[in-house]
Amino acid sequence: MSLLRNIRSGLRSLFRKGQVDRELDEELGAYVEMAADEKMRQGMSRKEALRAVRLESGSLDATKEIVRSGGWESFVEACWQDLRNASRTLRKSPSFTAVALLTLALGIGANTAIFSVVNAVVLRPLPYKDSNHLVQVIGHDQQRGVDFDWVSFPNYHDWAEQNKAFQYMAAYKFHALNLTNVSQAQMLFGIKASANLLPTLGAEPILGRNFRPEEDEPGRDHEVILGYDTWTQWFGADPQIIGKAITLSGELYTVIGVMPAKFNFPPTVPVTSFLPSRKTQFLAPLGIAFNPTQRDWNMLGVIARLRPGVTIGEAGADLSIVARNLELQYPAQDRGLAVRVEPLLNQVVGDVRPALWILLAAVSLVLLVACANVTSLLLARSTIREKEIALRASLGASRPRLVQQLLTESLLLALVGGALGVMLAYAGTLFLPRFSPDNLPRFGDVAIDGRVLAYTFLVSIVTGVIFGVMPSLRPSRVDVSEPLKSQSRTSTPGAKQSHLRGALVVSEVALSLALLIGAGLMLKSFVRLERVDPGFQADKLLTVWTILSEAKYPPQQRVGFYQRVWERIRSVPGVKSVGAIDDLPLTGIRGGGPFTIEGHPTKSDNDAPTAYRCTVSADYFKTMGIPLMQGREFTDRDREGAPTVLMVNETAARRYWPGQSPVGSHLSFTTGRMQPTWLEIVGVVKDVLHDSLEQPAKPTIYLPFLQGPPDFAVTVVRTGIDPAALTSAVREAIAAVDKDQPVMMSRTMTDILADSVAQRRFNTVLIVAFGALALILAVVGVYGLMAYIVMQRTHEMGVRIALGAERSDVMKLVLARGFRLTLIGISFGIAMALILTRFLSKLLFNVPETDPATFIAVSACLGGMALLASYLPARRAMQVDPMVALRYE
Amino acid sequence: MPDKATDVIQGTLDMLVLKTLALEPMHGYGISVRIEQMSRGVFRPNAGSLFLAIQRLERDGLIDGEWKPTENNRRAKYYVLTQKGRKRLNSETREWGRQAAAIARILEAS
Repeated sequence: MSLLRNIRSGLRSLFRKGQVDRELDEELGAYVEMAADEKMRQGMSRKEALRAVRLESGSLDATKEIVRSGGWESFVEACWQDLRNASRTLRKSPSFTAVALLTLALGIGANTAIFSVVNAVVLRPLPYKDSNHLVQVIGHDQQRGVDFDWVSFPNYHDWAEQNKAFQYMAAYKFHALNLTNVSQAQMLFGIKASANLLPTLGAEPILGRNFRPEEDEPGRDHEVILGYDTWTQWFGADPQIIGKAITLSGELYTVIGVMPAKFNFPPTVPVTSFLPSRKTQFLAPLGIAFNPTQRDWNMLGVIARLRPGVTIGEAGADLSIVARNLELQYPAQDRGLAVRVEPLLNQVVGDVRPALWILLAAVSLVLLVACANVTSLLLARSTIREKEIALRASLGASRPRLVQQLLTESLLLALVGGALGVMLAYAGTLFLPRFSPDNLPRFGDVAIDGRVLAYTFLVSIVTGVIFGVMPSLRPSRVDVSEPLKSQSRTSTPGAKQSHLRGALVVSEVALSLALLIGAGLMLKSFVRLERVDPGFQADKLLTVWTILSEAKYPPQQRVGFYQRVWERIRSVPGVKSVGAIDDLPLTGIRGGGPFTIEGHPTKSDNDAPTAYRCTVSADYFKTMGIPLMQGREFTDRDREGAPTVLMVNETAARRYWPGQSPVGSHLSFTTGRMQPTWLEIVGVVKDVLHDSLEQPAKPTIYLPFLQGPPDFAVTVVRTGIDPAALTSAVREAIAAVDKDQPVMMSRTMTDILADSVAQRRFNTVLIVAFGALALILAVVGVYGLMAYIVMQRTHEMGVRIALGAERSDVMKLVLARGFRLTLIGISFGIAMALILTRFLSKLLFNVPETDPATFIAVSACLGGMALLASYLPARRAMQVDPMVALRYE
Repeated sequence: MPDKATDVIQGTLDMLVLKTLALEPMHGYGISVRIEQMSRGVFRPNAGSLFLAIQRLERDGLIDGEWKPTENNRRAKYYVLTQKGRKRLNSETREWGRQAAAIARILEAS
């Protein structure tokens, strides 16, 4: 009640100032009159009476001031006054204001833009109900110390049954189906999921129903829930779709539901995988039977929802007990298998999180340099304004009041700068995604939302306080009389102020150097990465991805299909050669495993040699431009019924047949006590960087396509012309062989190569851009500070020259100071970089985080720029005319 | 009795203003005179503190102000004790009595 009344009355004083003032005047006037009447009654004259009253109760104005300052509104009024004052002062020096605002807008804008990315990608919760209760369950091989995201059905089954920590546990796997009997055959990408996946996610179909638990059984799994986009795109958003049958990979499936438009699972397609769609296009039942012999067949992703009140740590501990029991129960298959529980969000953003935090750190360094710049600008001004401040102080402004006034000014600057920064950042969020990697998760959702604005506001305030505090603490030390007495504008600055300036030069140099060294390391990494030879010739290469349905194309039919397709493609004008592989370099997760070399038996699987395995057609190596090193390539004679053969890459040859040629030796993939089938090595090919350009080649075994045709294959086409131009001709060739066979996608190898480094390019471009920004800010800042120092010492320079100092001596004096400050800045910067680049090491490639060449080159470059920035003012100092300098007084 | 009237003891002015208004509605000058009279010239609040106290009490809803003509045909703002103000006066009076007694006991115990 009284609070309301208080606020109302305060607001009234603020907004109806005139009336409130008049009332106070009248009330106090009445008081004085009544007091005077009393005195006059005692015999005084009116004049004497009024004088007596004034003596007794003080001046009317002072009283008014006391009463007025009693309410909270007086503080607001003071702030308002300061604000008006500040905006007036800022408007009066437009060039200062413009430079300061531009600096701040750049610093804060860059910060806001990067934070909006961090916000969208890392901080925003996943789009599921209570998504912080959702976890991913990951297997962990304790012997090898590696995680694997995929687990076996029996293990998933037992974890789900025996745990006490989870409300639901669900399994899924990626699956592709060919949609036919529509206008054009289409590959759909989706998942097979256990019936409780949707309850786990807290999601429901907008049409129809979820799977029933019994529909998980194999043989009863011909039901499908369509993704919203699939429903609208291929079935015209038919509201009667539920219960209808559609043809998927040659079999009839009944549509039982349609998911909402926003639904997607997994939340984003894993960064490493190449799939035609970023969204799940259908859900089908898992359809796996419990088979105890498949306990080591890892193929399912597992997610779970924590029971309310259970933490991730507790859930992990609970599941570990379950896993330990299983390990004891099934020592052959589960030995060393532990379980880890991680927030589901980690699966989505785990890979990009470190890079984003580093970007945010980098952009904060830019902001600090911007702060230093604005501080020096304010400092320069505060010296000029010393008289104004001294005058205010002598007229009775208290110190806190003066500090409040100056702080208001810097906060106003910071907030306006922040507002401009938000505009810059908004432009940035429209522009950034254009050169951002397609495979950066959730990047499409980057936007300036409430949280971003709150962050920007906070950053602006902190910025304002940082650059405002130093100059505004100064007047509290100012001797009021000194600047007022002084007639000179050019007195030599006090030692303290000069130290502060020096410190600013040092910190600008240090901060930007640390950032530039980081940028230099990233750039060098990127250049090295660009120069890496992937082991094949990527230009003029088109890739076409197809997957055959099991039902229509059993293994013996696949060879026929692919051979007819390749034949047709070969006859397309512009095509030089055609090959195929089931695992294209730089695009996927590979399979492999242990093998036995004939004559070198090993005791257990763990000691056995291992290699990745892929299947390639006869012309694959020729088409890709991968040179043969020893032996021969596959030919069309390496077919079903012919002796089983294989090829290995150089790394495998070096590792497992050191010092000898593997050609002619035999190996087998059957392990344990089963009768081995021996395959003969017929050739060795040069290494290809398969996983990424950043990882060395691993032992790889190539098997001939005709001896084990896979359902999934990437056909590679070497062309004499622009490969993208042949896309439709190649698609037509496939349609001519089977009009119901969709193409998953087709891309040029150059694009695939570019995509594989897109994330790194994105990080590098941004860090280098921030480095450049910091460099510009720092050089401008150093120039400004040195110029100011010279201007302040013009008088002193004039005296020196008049007294006979050589002009070059004067220049040396200024340069020496600039040189010393730069040197100190560089040493601090190097120290800082040594600490900070440690966090960068994961983002570097073939460049040590303390790479001396980068450190030296960047330091020299920045040092040179800083010296140049102090050379210009120094030259001006040299040209000082002693007469002018002295007459300046 | 001291030679000169002093400002009131810190923190008690609010209570004294409430007390004077408990008798009858009064304007600022009247309050000041009444306090001086009732304290037999010991206290004379200065105008600044008095009007500050009045503003505070009015904002807290303990008193209400109203413009009225005075007996000399001037306009003055008369203040009236509200229900809430009366309650506050009672509680403050009790508290003051307790404290004054306590202080007196301390000073007497030598």
